[in-house]
Amino acid sequence: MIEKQTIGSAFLKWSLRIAITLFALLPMYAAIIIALTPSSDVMNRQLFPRYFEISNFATGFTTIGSGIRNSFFYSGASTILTLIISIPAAYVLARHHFRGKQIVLFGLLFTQMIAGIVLLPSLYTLFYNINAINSVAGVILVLTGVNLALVVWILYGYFQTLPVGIEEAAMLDGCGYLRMLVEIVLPISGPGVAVGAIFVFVNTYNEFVIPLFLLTDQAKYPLTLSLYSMLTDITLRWEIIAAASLIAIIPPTLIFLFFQKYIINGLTTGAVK
Amino acid sequence: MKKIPLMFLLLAFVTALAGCSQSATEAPGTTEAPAAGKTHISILRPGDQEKVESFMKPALEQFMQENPDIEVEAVYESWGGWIQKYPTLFDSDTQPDVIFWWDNKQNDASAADKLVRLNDYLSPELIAKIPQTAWDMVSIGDGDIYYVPSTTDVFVIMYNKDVFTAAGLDPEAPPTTWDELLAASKAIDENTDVPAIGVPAKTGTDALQEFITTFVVAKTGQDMVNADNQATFDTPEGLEAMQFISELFQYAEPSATEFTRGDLRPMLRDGQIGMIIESAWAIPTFQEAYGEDLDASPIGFAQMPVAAPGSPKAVWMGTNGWIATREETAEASAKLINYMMSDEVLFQHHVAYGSIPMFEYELEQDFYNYDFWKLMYDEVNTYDLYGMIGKYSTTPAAFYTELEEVWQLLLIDRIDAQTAIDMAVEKIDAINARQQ
Amino acid sequence: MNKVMRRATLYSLLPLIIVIILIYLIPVLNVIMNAFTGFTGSSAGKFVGLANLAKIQAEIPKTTLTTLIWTIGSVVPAIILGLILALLLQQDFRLKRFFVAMNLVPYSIPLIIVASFWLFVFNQNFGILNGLLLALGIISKPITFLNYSNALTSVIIARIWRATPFAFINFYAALTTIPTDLYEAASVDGATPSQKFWYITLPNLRSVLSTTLIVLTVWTFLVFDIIYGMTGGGPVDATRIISIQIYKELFHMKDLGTASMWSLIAIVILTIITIIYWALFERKGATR
Repeated sequence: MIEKQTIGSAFLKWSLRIAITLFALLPMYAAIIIALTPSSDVMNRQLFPRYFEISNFATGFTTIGSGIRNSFFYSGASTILTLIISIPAAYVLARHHFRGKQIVLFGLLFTQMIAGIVLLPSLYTLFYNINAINSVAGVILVLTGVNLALVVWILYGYFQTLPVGIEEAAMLDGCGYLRMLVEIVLPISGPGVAVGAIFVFVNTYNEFVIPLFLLTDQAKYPLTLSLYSMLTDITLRWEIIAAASLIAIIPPTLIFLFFQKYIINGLTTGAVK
Repeated sequence: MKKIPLMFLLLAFVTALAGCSQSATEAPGTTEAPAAGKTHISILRPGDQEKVESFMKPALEQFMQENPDIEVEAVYESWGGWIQKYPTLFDSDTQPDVIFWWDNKQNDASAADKLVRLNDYLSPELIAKIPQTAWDMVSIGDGDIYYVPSTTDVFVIMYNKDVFTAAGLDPEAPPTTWDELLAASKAIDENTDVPAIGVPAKTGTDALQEFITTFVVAKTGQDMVNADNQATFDTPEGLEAMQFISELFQYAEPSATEFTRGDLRPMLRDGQIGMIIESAWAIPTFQEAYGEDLDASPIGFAQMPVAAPGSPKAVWMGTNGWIATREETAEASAKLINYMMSDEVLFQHHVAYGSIPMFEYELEQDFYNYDFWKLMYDEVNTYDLYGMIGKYSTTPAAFYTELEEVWQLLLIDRIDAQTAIDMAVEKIDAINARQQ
Repeated sequence: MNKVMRRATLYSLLPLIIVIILIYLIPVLNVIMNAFTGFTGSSAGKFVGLANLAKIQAEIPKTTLTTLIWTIGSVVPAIILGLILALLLQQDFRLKRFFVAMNLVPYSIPLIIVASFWLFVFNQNFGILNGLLLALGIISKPITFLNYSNALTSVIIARIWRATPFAFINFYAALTTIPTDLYEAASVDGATPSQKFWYITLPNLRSVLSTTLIVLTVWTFLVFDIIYGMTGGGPVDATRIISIQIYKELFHMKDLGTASMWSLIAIVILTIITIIYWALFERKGATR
């Protein structure tokens, strides 16, 4: 897009860019300052970092280390499970016409409307009645369930953009359906699958409410719950909370920044319709 | 065939999950088949695992050596996680055998039926050693003991002597009556630029309710909610107390609803606030800055002021204590409780948490060799103690949630004392109506 | 479709359908059932009609209003900000990648950490915002951002911060799909930048706008973590939205009936909102 810019509009653009970006970075900046402050000085206002108490990060890491480990496990497991369930489903939805297809698609949309805390009283009671509170498998199943619609939707859009020719040739060949999916469709679906996987992973890593209701065992806490425990501790250690928060956001932030291109491409090709 | 690896992956995954779920649902307390002749019990002291382990581990080792027929397993759990989901464990009968419990949850819907009556199991010496004031407080009638108080955290006034000096007050003469408390607050308010008294009023903590309780009970002489779960403060005395609280609230920190006790302690330490109403939980924050001997620090301590000279001494006290939850293991559980309450073990427990000493033995140890500990110890033994509200209710947490809103409104000056009482009574009635 | 294909279709969809039934259908039916069942006192286990609604009735108007203010108040600014940002960053300029990356960062941050981050900004003692405003001379004494009158605005700002990158990335992606020759042709015809925006950019963003709007609305409506972490729903009832009520009824009041009634109310309101959106956007979009 070529456009003549006056100095005024260029100035306006740059100030807006900078202002909005500062807004995006302000809380992180505040957290960094506090994370670097020794506990004895944490109550004082600082505009610029005045201290360099790096040991807060070590303490923060020991406090939520196991939380991060658990979160990675839950996220990894739900990502795999979600993909195993979504890929075939999205594929048939994108490629075949059958009775009830509209119902499935609508049902998926509907799940997005009632996600989250609305269901948890019921899920909590359900888990409670079958004595599955604290069940890791149960939590992973729920984490998978709440992400399915999104991923099926992303892949559904993506598969629609793939050329039809190759797979039909494969079908005529008499390949098994699943084999066709694994051998022919998957290799050219990398970007779509990657976007889906990233979303599930990050969503699960960020999930707070589901484990809050369904897990009570501290050893199984994901990092979001570990952090919340710190926020409600008898002695509030703001500097440690800040350091731990900053450590905790590193993995999802890196994933997002690293796969930025994929995500934007994925969004343009189908996720958002 | 490429489909085989995929199927295998799926299968492996499902098996892994099933494996997880098995180990996961094996909740604390469910014990494996006990070794021949051994009684297997579990014990839970909620809290930070490292801290709990520090006194629990050596204690249990020693206990098992002395009682080779009992095998004890320690279960660890944060307070936050435990308070939320203990009902699950009780309902499925997988709760630990011995639990560090709340005084106001003896009638809790999920736990009440399980609590073991301990009168016949506890040693008479132990019963005699625990202050009578504490027994009175946790009793739920008829002299039955279901709960053995193990910590006694009474409120005292903690004040910053530098702030007192700056306000023209005598740092060695803290307020002893409500009038003096108001006068001191006023002086701090007028002569310094720090708020006079810290009120921990953030939503979702129990702290504001406890703050209110300590003043109301001093006037009414009874728990805020009685054995029939009715409000007791709907009286002229209750109103007087509420009016006093409302006046005191003028000197609270601005936007007090943002603050928890955890915020107020460092503020007092740094002289950013004049006084707080606190218990032993606050001590570590000050000791970190001023060393163990706070008697020599700028932090002053005073027993809770009385309503008027000669009025009965009364104060809110927080306690946790031991309960046994299974008739089958009652004897072993009670043995363990007796042991956990023995001089040295209790001392170690109190040291780990910096709790107020309960037995004379503890007071003689170096750790408690300071005047401020003695002051709190005396208060436990000489004041009428009132605990958390709702000890006769099946849903005590409901009172806290519902009443907090009323006290916050009083605090931010949206309602007056009489309205606060009316609203609170209405809320309590509504809670009771739900249980009918 | 032949028999083999039918079987393949069925098998492919079956796991999805089973999980959806387990995680959504059964719980939703359960919520509806429980909303009309008693769980306390003598009514426990019985059908109680609208008794659960009566118990929470007094709080419904205020909570619903707060929930709507929270939702609209965060979604609309987030969309506008996201759109502005997408337009600003879509052109080529130095440091473009850096700016895009920095503005994406909040998108992947757990909501409970969003809460703690914004406490660092708003805190009365050490919050950086007061420090900033004082240093700039805009205010002379600290503002209490989390008190009764300001708390709702403060949690909304935190939510806007977290929602903006989502709107931004959607618009940003959509902008790259608008063919450049449309703009070139318009330039040849002498169109001004604002004409181009109104007649080319905006119409092409229509579908992404409607999707972003509805997704953000639904997500925001049910957010729990940010408010729970920042204010706990208080002071008093200043930030008590429906999700907080559900939690409170379940864990503090120990009443599954009233908790489910709140859930049902949320479902009903969300359904109405979705229908309104659909009527506004999709129908018009279809006839375009």
